[in-house]
Amino acid sequence: MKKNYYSFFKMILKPYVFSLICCFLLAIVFVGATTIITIVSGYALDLFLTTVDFTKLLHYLLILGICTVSCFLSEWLLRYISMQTSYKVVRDLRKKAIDKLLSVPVSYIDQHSHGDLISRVVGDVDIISDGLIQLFQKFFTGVLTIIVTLAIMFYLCYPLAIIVLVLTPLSLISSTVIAKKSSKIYKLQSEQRGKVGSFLNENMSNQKVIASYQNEDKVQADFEVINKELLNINFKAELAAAVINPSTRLINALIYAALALVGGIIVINGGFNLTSGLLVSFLLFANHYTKPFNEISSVIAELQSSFASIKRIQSLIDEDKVIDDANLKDFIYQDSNIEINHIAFGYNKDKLVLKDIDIDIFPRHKVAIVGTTGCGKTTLINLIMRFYDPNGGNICVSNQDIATVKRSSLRDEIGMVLQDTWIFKGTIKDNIRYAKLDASDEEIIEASKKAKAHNFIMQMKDGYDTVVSDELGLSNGQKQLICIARLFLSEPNILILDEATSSIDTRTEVLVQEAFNEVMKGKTSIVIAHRLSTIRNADIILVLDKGYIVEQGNHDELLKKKGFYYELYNSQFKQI
Amino acid sequence: MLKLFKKYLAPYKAGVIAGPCFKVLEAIFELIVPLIVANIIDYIDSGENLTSDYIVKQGLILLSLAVIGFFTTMVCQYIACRISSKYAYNVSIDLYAKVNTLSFKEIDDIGVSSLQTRLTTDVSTTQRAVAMLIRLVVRAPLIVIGGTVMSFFVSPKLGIIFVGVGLLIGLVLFLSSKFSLPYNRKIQTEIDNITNITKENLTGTRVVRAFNKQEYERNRFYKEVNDVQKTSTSLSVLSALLNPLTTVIVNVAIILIFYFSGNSSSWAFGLSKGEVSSLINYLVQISLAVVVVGDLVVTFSKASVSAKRINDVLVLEPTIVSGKEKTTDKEDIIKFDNVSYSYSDNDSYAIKDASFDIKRGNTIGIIGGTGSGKTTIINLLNRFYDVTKGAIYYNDVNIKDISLDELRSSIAVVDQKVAIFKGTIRSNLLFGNRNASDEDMWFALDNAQARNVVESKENGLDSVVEELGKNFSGGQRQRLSIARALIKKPKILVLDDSTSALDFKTDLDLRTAIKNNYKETTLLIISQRVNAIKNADEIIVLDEGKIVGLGKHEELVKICQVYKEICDSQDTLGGNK
Repeated sequence: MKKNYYSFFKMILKPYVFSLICCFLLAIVFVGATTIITIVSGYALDLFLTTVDFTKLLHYLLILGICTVSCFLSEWLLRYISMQTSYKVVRDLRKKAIDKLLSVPVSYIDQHSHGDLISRVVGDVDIISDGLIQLFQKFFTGVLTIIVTLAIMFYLCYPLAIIVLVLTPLSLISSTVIAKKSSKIYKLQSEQRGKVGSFLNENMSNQKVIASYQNEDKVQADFEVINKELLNINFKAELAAAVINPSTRLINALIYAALALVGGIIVINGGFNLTSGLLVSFLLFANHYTKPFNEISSVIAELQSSFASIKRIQSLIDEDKVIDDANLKDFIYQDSNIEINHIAFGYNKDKLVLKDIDIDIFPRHKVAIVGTTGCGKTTLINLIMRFYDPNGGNICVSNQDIATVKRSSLRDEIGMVLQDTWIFKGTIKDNIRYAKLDASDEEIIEASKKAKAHNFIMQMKDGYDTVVSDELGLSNGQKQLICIARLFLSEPNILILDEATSSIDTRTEVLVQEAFNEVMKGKTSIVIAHRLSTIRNADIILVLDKGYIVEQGNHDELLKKKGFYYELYNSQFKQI
Repeated sequence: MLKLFKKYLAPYKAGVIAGPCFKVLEAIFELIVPLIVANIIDYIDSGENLTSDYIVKQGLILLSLAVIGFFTTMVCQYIACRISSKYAYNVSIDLYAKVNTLSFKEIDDIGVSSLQTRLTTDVSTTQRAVAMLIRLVVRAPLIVIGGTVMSFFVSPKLGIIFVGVGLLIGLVLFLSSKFSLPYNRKIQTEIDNITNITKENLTGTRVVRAFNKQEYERNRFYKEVNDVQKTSTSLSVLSALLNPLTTVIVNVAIILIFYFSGNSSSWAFGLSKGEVSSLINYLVQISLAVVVVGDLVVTFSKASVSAKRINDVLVLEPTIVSGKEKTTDKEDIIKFDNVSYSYSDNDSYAIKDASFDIKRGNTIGIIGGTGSGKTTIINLLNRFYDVTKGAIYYNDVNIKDISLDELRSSIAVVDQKVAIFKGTIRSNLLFGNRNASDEDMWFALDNAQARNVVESKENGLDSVVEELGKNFSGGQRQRLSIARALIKKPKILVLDDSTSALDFKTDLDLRTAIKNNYKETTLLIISQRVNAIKNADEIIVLDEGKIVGLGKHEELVKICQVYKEICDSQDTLGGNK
C-alpha cells in the first residue's frame, strides 16, 4: 500500500522537480539564516555580561539584519513556490480526471454515482492540495532544522544530545501510530461525505416531487440520519487529528524537562565542561530542535487524512478500461445501409435484454421500431452508436463492421436525438452550435428555423444569446426542439431518433416531420416512437418483444396480420 | 460570519468559553517554564555545595507541568471537536430544512448546484473555522499580551517596542484578510463552474460522444481548472507573505532591543544580561505563537465567504406561505379565475387570463402546443408558484388561504420528468403513502399497469432502485411513478404527459383502469394525443398561454381552429375520417 502512495506522489510531482529543488535550496537559506540569528543573538547577549562593546554589538546587529532579510525573502519565496506548485498539481489531477471521464466506456459512467464522481474531482483533490502545501512548506525546513540543531547540540554537550537524539523520535513514532490508526476513520469520513453528496444530488434535482408528495419531513428525517452518522465520524476524525499535536508537544516538554534536570545535575557535578551559560544555549537549541518535530507531525496528520482522498482519485485516474481506437481504421461512408447480425446483449452477463436481433436496413429507408417498454429499443441505439458492444453478433454500417472502425469516424456520420434532452449552461446559440463548432450565425438560425425553434427563441429576452441551462429557462418541448436543431446543423447521413418528439405537440411535430423528411432525403433513419403519425409512414416497422423481433413489415402489411402491431394500433381508437 | 457563529454556537456558549480557558491554562504553564528554568540556572550559579535535590524537584515540576498541560489541552481539543461537529450537523439540517420550505422561485434564483455546494463544501469550511476558533484563537493573543505585559515588568521603556510589534502584526493580519476576500469569492465561483461542467459531462456523456465533442468539453473544463489555478496562485503571493512578514517584525524588534539596551546614549541603557535575554525570549515566544495565527487567517478568510453563502439562504423567507383553512367537498372542485402568471419580471406571460371550472369526479383533458402553458397550470395549482394575477379556488376556497398540507395531500402529479428515488420499489411506493399495505401497493401497481415491472425483478417489491431509477427503463419508471401517485388515493390526479414512453395499448389500459377503479378521483390529463383526451368531460385547449377552446370534443372540432388543426394532424376518427 505504501508503494502506491509513493508512486502517486512521484507521478504528480515529476513535472515540478525544479520547484522542489528550489524549495530545498530556499529551505537551506532559511534554516541557515535562522540558525545564525540564534547563534549571533547568543553572542550578542554575552556582551551584556559586562559593559557593552557597542561596536561589536553593531557588528552583530548588522549580521542579524542581513539574516533577517534573507529569512524574510527565503520564507516568502518558499511558501509561494509550495502553494503555486500545489495548485498546479491540483490542476493536473483534475485534468487527468476529466480526460479519464471522457475516455472510459459509457458503462463506467452508468455504473457509478455521479454525485460521488463529482466529489472526487472537486472535493478530494482539494484535500490533497492542502496536504501537499503542508508538506512542501514544512518538510524541508523541518528536516534541515533537525540536522543543523542536532549537530550544534552534539558540539555543545554530547551526552545531552544523545538523550535528545534517542528520545525525540518517540514523538514521531507516536504521531505516526495515531495517524495510521485513524486512517480507517478518514476513509469513512470521505465515504460518508460522498453519501451526503449523493443524497443531495438526487433529492434536490427532484424537489417538486418531494413537495407534491409532502415528503419534506421524510427527506428531512433521512438527511438527519445520514448527517448524524457524519457527525459521529467527523467528531472521531477531528479528535484523531487533534491528538497528534498535543501528544508531540507533551513528549517534547518531557524531553525538555529531562534535559533541564539532567543538565543541571551535570553542571553541578562539573562534568563535560558544561556551564550554566552553555546549558541555557543548549536548551534554546533543544527548543528549536523539537519545533520541527511538531510541524512534521502535523504534516503527517494532514497527509494521512488526504490518503483516503488520494485513493479515491487514484481509482478514477488509474481506471484502465478505456476506449482506445487509435489502431482502428477510419469509417468510410459509402452508403447508409445497416446490417444488424444476430445481436445478443445484456447489461449483466446473465440477463440478456436483446436475445437475437437480425435486420437488414436498406439505404434511405425509414425504420420504425416499436414494442413494449423495456424490450430493448434504447439498448439497440446504445449498440448502433457503440456506447456498448454486443455480447454476440455484430453490426455493419456501410458494409463495415463497426467494431473495426474508429468510433469518432462512425459517429460523425450518425445523428442522434435521445429521449433525455441535454442542454448545457450557455447561450442558446452555443447549444445549437454544439453540433458544428464552426457554423456561422446564419447557419444556426437556418437550422433553428427548420426545427421550428426559431419562433420561441425570438420571443425570449435575449433571443439566441439567452443563457440557459438544463434546469433553467426552457420547457421540455423547447429543449427537444433545440436538440433537433443540432441535427439540422450537422446533417448526418444516418439519423437515430429515440422518442425525440414525445414532448412536442403533434401540430408542431408535423412541421418538424416535414423538415425531417427534407433532411432525410437520401439518408437512413431509425425512429423509436409511439406516435402513430411517426410510425405510419415508415418503410418498415420492426416490432420488438422480449428481445426478439416478432413482426416486421409496413403499416398495412402488419395490420393485415392482426398480430401484435394490430393490437397496439387499435388500442388508440378504443373507446373508454 | 460572526452572525452565523453567534447563532449556532450560542447553545454551546459554555464550551466555547471553557475550551479556550483550558488552552489558557496550558499557555500559562508554558509561560511559567522559563521561570522554572531560570530558577535552576540561578541555583546552579549560586555557589558551592549544591545538591541535586533542588534540581530534581524543579525538574519534577517541569514534568508535571508538561503532563497537566497535555491533559488541559486535550480537554480543549475534545470540546472543540464536539462543538464543531455538532455545529456542522445543526447548520446542515437547518439549511436543508430551509431549502425544503423555499418556493421554487427562490430555488431557481440561487440554483440547485449552488445549494448543493453550500450544503456540503461551505458547511465543512465553516466547521473547520469553528474548530480552529476554539482551539487556537485564544492562545496567540494571550501570548502576545502576556509577553507584552511581562516585558513591561522588565523594562517599561522597551515595553513600547512590544506594543508596536503587537499593533503592526494586528494591522498585517487585518489587511491580509481584507485583500484576500475578493480572491476567495472568485475561487468559490470558479469551483461552482467546475462542479457544473463535470455534472454536465456525466449526464450528457452520450450526447458528447455522439457529437464527438470530447475535445471541446476537455477545453471547456481545462479553462475553468486553469482559472482556479491562476486565481489561487495570485492569492498565494499575498498569503505567502503573511508569516514571513510577522517574523520580520519580531526580528526587527529583537535588533531594536539589542540596539537600545546596548547603546549607552539611549534612554533604555542599563539592563542586565538576564533581563535582555528574557525580553528576547518573550519576543521569540510571540513570534512562534503568531505563526499559528497566520494560518488561521487563511482559514477564516475562506470561512467568511462560505458563511455569507450559508447566511444568504438561511435568511430567505419563502414567498409561498401556507394558509390555515380547511375545506369541505364541493361540486366545483377547482376554479381558475382570470389567472395569469409570468416566470420572470418582464411582460411575457406563461398563462394569461385563464378561467375555467372543474367539477368533482370529472375527467378533464388539457391540450396545447409546446410552451402553451399546460405545465404552468399544474405548477400554479400545486402552489409551486403563486399566481401573478387572478385567483385559484379549491372547493371554493382561495388556495392561498388553504393549508398547504391539505392542498398538496389532495393532489397527485405524475410529471413528464419521471423521478423515482434510490431505495426499493417498496420505499418508492411508500413515498406516496406511508401507511400503504402490500395490498394497497399491488392494487396501485395493477392499475398503473406496473405489475410486470415488479414481477420482472428478482426481489419483487423489495427490488433495488438505483440513484434516479437508472436501472429501470423509461417506461418502467413512468409506470412506477403512476403507481406512486395512485397509492396516494388523491382527490385530484394529474397526468402531465406522463405516458409518453408507453405504447398505445398500455396507455389505454391505464386510463381504463383509472376510470373503473378510481371513480371518485378528478382526473386531469395533459397529453399530446387527442385520443387520450377525446372522451374527457371537458377539454381545455391552450395556445401561447391563452385558453382558446373549452368544451367537449365534438363541439371543439367544429368551433376551435387550433383544436381542429391538432386533430387533423393526428388523423383521428371523428375528425375528418
